[in-house]
Amino acid sequence: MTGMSYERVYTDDLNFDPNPNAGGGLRLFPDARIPGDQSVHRRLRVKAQYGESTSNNRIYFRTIDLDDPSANSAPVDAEPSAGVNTGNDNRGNVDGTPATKAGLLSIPNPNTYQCQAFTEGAISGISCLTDPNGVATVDFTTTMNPGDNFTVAASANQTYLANLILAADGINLQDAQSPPVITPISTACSATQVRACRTDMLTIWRRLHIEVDTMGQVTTNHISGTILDAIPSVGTTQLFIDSELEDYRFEPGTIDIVGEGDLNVLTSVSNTVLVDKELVPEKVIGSSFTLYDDDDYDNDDPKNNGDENETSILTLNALSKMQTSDVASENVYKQAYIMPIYDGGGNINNNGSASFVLNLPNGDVQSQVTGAVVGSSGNEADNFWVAYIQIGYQPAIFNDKDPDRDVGLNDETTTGATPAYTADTIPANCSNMPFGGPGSAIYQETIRDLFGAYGVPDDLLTVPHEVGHQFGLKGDVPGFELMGASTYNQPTFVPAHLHILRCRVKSPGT
Amino acid sequence: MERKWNVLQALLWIALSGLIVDAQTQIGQFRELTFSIKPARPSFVPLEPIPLKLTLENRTASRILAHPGLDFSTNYIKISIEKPNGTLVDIGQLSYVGCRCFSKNVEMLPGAKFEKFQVLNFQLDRYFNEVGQYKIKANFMSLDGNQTVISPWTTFNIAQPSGSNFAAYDFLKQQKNLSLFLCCYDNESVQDLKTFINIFPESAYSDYIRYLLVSHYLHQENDEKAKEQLVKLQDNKDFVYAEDVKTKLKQIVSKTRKSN
Repeated sequence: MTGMSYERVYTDDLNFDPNPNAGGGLRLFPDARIPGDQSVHRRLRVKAQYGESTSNNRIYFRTIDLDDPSANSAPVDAEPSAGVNTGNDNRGNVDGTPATKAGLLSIPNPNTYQCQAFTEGAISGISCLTDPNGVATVDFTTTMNPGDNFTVAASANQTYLANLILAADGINLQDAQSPPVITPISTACSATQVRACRTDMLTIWRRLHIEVDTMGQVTTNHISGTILDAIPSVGTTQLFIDSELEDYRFEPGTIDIVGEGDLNVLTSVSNTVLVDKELVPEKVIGSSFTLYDDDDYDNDDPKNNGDENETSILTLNALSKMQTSDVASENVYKQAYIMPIYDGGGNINNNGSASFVLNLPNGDVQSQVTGAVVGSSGNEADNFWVAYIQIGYQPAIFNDKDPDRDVGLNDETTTGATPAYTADTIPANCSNMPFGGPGSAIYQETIRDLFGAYGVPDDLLTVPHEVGHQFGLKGDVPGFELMGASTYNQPTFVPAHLHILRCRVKSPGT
Repeated sequence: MERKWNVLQALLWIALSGLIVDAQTQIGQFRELTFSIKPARPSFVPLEPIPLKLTLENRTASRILAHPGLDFSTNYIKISIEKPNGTLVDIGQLSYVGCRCFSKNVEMLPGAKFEKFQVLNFQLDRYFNEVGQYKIKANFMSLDGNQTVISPWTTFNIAQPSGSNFAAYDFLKQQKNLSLFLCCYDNESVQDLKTFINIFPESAYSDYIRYLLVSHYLHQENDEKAKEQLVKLQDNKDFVYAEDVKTKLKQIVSKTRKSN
């Protein structure tokens, strides 16, 4: 054998590219490229070049589920003992049976070169005759689970091929000789006379097509009314107004009083506002006012106006840790062999505006992130994963870190919310897979308030965290890194969550 | 002058004593706190949401740092139940909506108490699907996850529904997403919620469904429809969300008055 290679079947298939994760080799995205795509992108051709460029030489092919090079312990990759790397650890299969965890070889159609199945001991495969160029070709169908990996080996000697085993590193093959001969890979097979050759390790990656909507124009982020009374002191005035306020919400804020202009708000409680100027009561009682807090989610307002000149909520840096990238710091889902794609969930025109909600309580999140606003909802399929993100403003008033000061029992701060069925662990066989959820709400102004209160930049983990809930990951308490309950956690998934991500077959939330 | 100094000395001594006492108040451990849960009533019907009063108390003589995250959506609380058939089950998920939430420790002085109502209303069909007596207890985790307090077991009954509850229960069982029906709404389930209230205005489930409709109408900025439901809810002083009903009604009335 002098070489082996993969070949795409469909003309719209992308070329193979290098696998950027452990073990190297090549990467395959077996999923649909566009919604409704019926092409079976997980079906490939494997070609083996025989040493003699002549026809009618029978070449034997078999598939191997290589060891997972990204881990050596359960639940990501359970090994029988420390230091031993075994294969047969793929989570997916081709036909619903564990027998096809290593993928499935099949006879090309038409069967021009008399391909047929063979079995030797516990090993089975397909053999085909070479064409006039000395090339034998077989079809190969992969699994769909992210992180599954394979190689296809070929030889003119059925017995030699059947006796190949995994080398100690788990991602190479060797024969039964002493010392063993490592099976060369792909074009390296041409360097020496080899009795078998194998393809590059092929690793499955999945795309996650993401629709990003943002809430529209900020509205009603102010209180208007009439001043009922004013009690001045040295340097300050307590104003009584005709509205009931959330305690301390408007500190620091601005009150614009007709005839007085803008005044700084020192504090606000119930229906009173304390300003930092000594006013003449007779001049302000009965005057109209507009009261703004310090909301300025993108820090671009020259004066407090509750963001009411903003036409829509921008994503800012919210997506920075979930980019279409092979760099771990730019795509935290790289470790799960998942690639975010910002294509509107299948159509870039799906990205749009949602209704603005100043404070979105948890009970309304399900309604806010589902329904007509989600343009991509009809695109979800097992072979087309979609996630939905809505960039919003603030959660319920008790959780929006507004006011900045802690005010007691209800002062948890929420930067994102996702309705979802979730779990922290599932069995090794991927049963009891949590459903996940349909979409997430991200609260930009509260993110600013929270991290601003600590004087540190946004840790940019809210979006990947909430998308994790869409994938069915629970966490939300210490010990779950990215899915944990602290800021500036490690941007990694714990092994139990990686296992859940890699077990997934269906689109998140379906 | 001497008398004045004696008074001053006495005051100084009192102040110093206070400081010494304060310094002597130890910092205790989270695990020394007392945690309890109590169902709002001793008996419910199947699929009826179950309000639980969660109480975290400092019954020690020490100051203890604790976070007030008595909230099912944060996962700091775990609940275990013993079903009528004796099966022990840990409820995997208490709230359908997960969040990236950040709590903060506050100092609980001796005698301090955090108390909050939370409602079990998610996956009731899965965990409370049998009639009979249930035992329930809860764990509450410290903010750093290193310590836990556990409540004692307490009991409540799920009783066979009768009368209007029976028919309402039958209606609920037909719902597609029964696990979610009484906790959350979306655009699909809203019509079913409205149908339910039209057919069963007075059942064990009705106020919870009304409350969901209030959220829906407010989200739609339909204050008029929201107020219709809030007015019907305000008579139920025992309703777990009674305070919120009062606040929302006040806000709508105030908005209406100002716009007039």
